[in-house]
Amino acid sequence: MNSPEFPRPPRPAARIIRRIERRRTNHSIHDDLLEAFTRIRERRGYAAACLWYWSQSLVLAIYESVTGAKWRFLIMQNYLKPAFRNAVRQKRYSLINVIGLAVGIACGILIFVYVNYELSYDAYHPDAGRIYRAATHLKMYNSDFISADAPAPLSAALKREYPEAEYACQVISSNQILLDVDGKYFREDGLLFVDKDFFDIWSIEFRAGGSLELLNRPSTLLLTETLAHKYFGSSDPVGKIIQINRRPFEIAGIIKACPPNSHLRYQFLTSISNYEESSENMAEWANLIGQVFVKLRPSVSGEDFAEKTRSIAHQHRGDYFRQRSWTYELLWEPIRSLHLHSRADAGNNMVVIYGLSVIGVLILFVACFNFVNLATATAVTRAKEVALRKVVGAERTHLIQQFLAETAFFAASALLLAVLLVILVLPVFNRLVERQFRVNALLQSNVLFYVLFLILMITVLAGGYPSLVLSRIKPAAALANRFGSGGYRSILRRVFITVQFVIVTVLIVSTLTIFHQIGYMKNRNLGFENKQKLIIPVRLTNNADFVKSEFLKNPDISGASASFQILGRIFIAVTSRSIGEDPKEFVIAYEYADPDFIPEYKIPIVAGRNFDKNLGSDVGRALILNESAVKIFGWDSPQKALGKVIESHGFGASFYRTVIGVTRDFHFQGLQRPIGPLGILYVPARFRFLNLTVRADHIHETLAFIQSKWSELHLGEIFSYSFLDERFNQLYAADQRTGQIFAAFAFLAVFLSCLGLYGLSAFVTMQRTKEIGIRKVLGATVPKILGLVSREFVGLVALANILAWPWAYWMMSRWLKNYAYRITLDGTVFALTFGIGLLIALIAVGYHALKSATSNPVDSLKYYG
Amino acid sequence: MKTLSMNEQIFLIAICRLDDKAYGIRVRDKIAEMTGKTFTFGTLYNTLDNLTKKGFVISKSRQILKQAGGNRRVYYSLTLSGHEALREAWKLQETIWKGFPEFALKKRDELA
Repeated sequence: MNSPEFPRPPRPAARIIRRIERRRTNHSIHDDLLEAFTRIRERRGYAAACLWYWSQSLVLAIYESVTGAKWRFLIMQNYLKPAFRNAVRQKRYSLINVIGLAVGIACGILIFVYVNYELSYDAYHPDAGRIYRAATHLKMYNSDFISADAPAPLSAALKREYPEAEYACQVISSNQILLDVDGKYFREDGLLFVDKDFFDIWSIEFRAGGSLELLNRPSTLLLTETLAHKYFGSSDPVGKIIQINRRPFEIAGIIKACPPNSHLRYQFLTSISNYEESSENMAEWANLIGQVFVKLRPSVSGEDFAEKTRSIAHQHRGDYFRQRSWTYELLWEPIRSLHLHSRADAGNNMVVIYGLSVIGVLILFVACFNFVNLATATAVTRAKEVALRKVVGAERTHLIQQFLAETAFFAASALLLAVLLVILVLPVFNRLVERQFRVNALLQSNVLFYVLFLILMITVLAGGYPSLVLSRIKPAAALANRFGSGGYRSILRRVFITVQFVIVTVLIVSTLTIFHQIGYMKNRNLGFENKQKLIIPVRLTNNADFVKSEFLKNPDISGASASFQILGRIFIAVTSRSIGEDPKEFVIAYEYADPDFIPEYKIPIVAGRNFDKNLGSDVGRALILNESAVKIFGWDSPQKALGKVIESHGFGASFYRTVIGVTRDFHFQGLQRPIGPLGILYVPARFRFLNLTVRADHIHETLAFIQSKWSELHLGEIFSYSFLDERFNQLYAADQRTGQIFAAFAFLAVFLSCLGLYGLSAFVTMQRTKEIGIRKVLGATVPKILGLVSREFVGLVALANILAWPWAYWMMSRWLKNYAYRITLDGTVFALTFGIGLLIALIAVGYHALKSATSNPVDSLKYYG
Repeated sequence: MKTLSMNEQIFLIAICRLDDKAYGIRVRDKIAEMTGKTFTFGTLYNTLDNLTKKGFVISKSRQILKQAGGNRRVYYSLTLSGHEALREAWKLQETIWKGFPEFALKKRDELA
């Protein structure tokens, strides 16, 4: 009857039963159930037997897990109770451990949330992987750059000739638009002129209306919910008329607000047919107007498409480009890469992302090293416990389990503190990275997974080595009190301290260098006066002289001039050709300014003269170049340039201008870019900014005066102003932010290493209390003992500095290459870093060193044991 | 000495009767044969555990032959105190039933 005939019971169930039998009972459950199974099989068939067998195994498993959990809980209690008691007994170490880990975890969480967010840009598009943006790589004469704008007729040509592109749309964005809602004026960004494919590529959600009305009727507009609420409150905005740049638009619909993680920001959408540009210009391949996005068909590869369309501009307008030996090549960038590593857009933020991720990991390491150092150093206090556990039969795996559980306990309590910290510093962090994270961003599933992973990693990283060390303790030696000091000079601990300080040093060097460079840019002589300059955007026609004279009536306004662009942001560039023998053609930046501009900004003229108000022939025809322009046209000296004629092309027409003067080079594009060739023209019709020189005192009265004059003269709808030096500083805002981020994390790393050193030195001096006492009895002085205790740490800091310098030097010299005008990395920064590192170490170690050095040897030698 | 419960008596008797073939499922079968009650495995093992703890039963594990499945199989047998307890129980039964007339158990309507 009990002959085991096949088929046998289901294998997994049998395995469960066998396991439980082995672990929990001294009955032969498996054997009994097998026999019962065989009987049921014979009587009622295999399936019924299997069902029965499974149910038996499951009942057993449930029973087992319930009783098992009870035991495991009891064991855990047995593990955690001494951990808790120890933590309470050694408050200082526990506090250092928990705070260190909490700061590390908080950094980790913040950095993860930020990096995760930055990487999520434009992921909200359906099929984001198939959407690409065109960029144009231009090579013309002296300029070679990649523009994010595309040739004007590109999207139409793609639709016509390339079936691979499922959708192609042209998007022209317009910022700083003037909005007139029932007589109230607003300035807004994010007006997009789009064509019909836009709605197939972007998934726009409509709250009211739809794309059809927008596209079929002229002068209509879609508005985001947020703005609709801002302008119209709760009333229905659809059908209302608003004026944009003094042109009436009817609101055709309401759309959902643009997601914050979108590189292309929109608040208003209107049809591209409303864009005011001549049809010839919109058909000219040499004109770059707006951005072009395509969504490829699923089967098309991005590379193939890019290869096929690379020289599309030349296919259409080859002769024109060949004549001028220009090249216009298309590049396609995936939409998800635009935010962080576009070749066309300014600011390669990927570096910051990488940098931050690395810093996050490093800070976590610093925190874990602290934990390991303290845990191994204080192993001696646990020696007896471990020994006793071993004596009563604990195996090494049990002890390892115990200490890992202990670390997990520490990590979990640190996590609680970390979450608190994160909630506290979130506003500061938001300001630092210029994002708007809310606390509920922490509740996303990937953040939670990450935190779980973090705890696990910390447990293994920080708990792994100490648990190995502690479980290795020999019970006989430990119980006989012959357990050593745990080796406060252990190699590993020294390595950890060194690595910590390498990280600290690199962070400090980076921070110092970044701030040094920013300071250098802020204080560098720009070649013109930028202090006390007030910039006001105005609508000037040919009345600039009258407006200026009105403002100059105030004695606190000492000078006034008008210009087309703001100094520091002169980016309009036009191709220009020298006439005469050896003609040359280049792309030159242009500024339009009145005769007062150059003297007001104290720009030195090295040859020739300034514009003359009284010479009508200067208007539009006279040209003032800078020295760089003279140089590239190949004229030997500024004097030789005078009287030369320059032909420039602008929008289909040619102009001839005579050079009347040459200025010294000045930084008209800020310090990130080298000084290029510049021409200044006197064209009053194009003035858009008023530049006022104001006295520093009575600035409020002056501003009030300017504002009242502004409305008196009807110079525009919205009064706004800015100071030129502040605008210049804003050019460096991104760098400043990077610097601040580095500074913040450098500070945290310093704080953590200090914490670690402080705890470690406390322990080491405690271990050496007797030694120090004996030394004092034998005549050692306080400074000698101070030196004795801190020598080792100081040596490690010095070593760390030497190791870190090449790394920091390499990193920072790469970063500085972004700047046309930069500081040279010299010894001072490194010396300063060394000084700071030393100071930190001494402060951290000093307290305990001093305490033990000044203590009475009688006290430390009193006890024998 | 504590008296045995009825279940314990049944178990001990079953093990006793099975002699050297008393292992889990056989004990259960024997009980079913004797009383018509089929215990769940849980009750079976728990009662066996209790009896072992009280020292009435001793278990021995043996490897069984390959063709019988090759498993570990646990055999139970009575200890001396197990025998003693069983005998005491039998005596007690004897005593309490002695002289008790059968008709006293008859149902009321049967009497009438």
